Amino acid sequence: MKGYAEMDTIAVKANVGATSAAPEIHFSGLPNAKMASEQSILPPLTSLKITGHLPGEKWLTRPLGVTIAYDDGEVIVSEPRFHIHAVGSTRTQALAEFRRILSEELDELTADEEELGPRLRAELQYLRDLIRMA
Amino acid sequence: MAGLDSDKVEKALIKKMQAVCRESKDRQYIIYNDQKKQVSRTRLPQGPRHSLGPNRVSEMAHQLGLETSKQFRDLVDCTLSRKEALKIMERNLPPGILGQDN
Repeated sequence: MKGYAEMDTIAVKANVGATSAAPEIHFSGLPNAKMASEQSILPPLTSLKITGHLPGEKWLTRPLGVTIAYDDGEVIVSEPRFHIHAVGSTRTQALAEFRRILSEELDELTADEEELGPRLRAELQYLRDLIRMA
Repeated sequence: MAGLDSDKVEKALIKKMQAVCRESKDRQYIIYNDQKKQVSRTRLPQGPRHSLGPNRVSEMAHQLGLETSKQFRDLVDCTLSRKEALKIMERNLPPGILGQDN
């Protein structure tokens, strides 16, 4: 198995053709393996559309375009209209946090509806259009 | 552009902007105007003091209704007053929003 298992790293050769030099993808078995594999395999996306389920038995009514930005050691996912955003140490974590915050924001603005100013009233309406209860 | 210290941001939101802090998984800061209407909100995660990077500072600035990251820095550095900041936040509405009823 030399070349395939060494220390905590496994190298997998992708079979992309008989004549080309096969590129290697490295997987780490270290505790931060998820982050290591994500960084080495996936390019740094800067936008994405998310769909489907949100925490709290809610659903997005339509695909939502989000932007993804990278600070030192942090991934920031945000929507462009009201800049509702979330942070994580990986893109996966930041996206999960973003879904949670989106769901909570709807609940919290709904609870405070009577005292919202124009910006937050508009944000509440935006979230009501965007999110449905399952 | 350098980041901002989370402690300084929190201090500016609580002391200068008189934001109400609600604690859940995150700390949520709610800014009210003098008519007791909520003008804007933002969040910081629970946990120890840390540095907020430039992209995060930009998102927080815009979420609060400020026009630029610099205005947010000025708020934290005490060169932008609560009155001026509220004025910016209340006039800087996303396109399509009317309602100057507050």
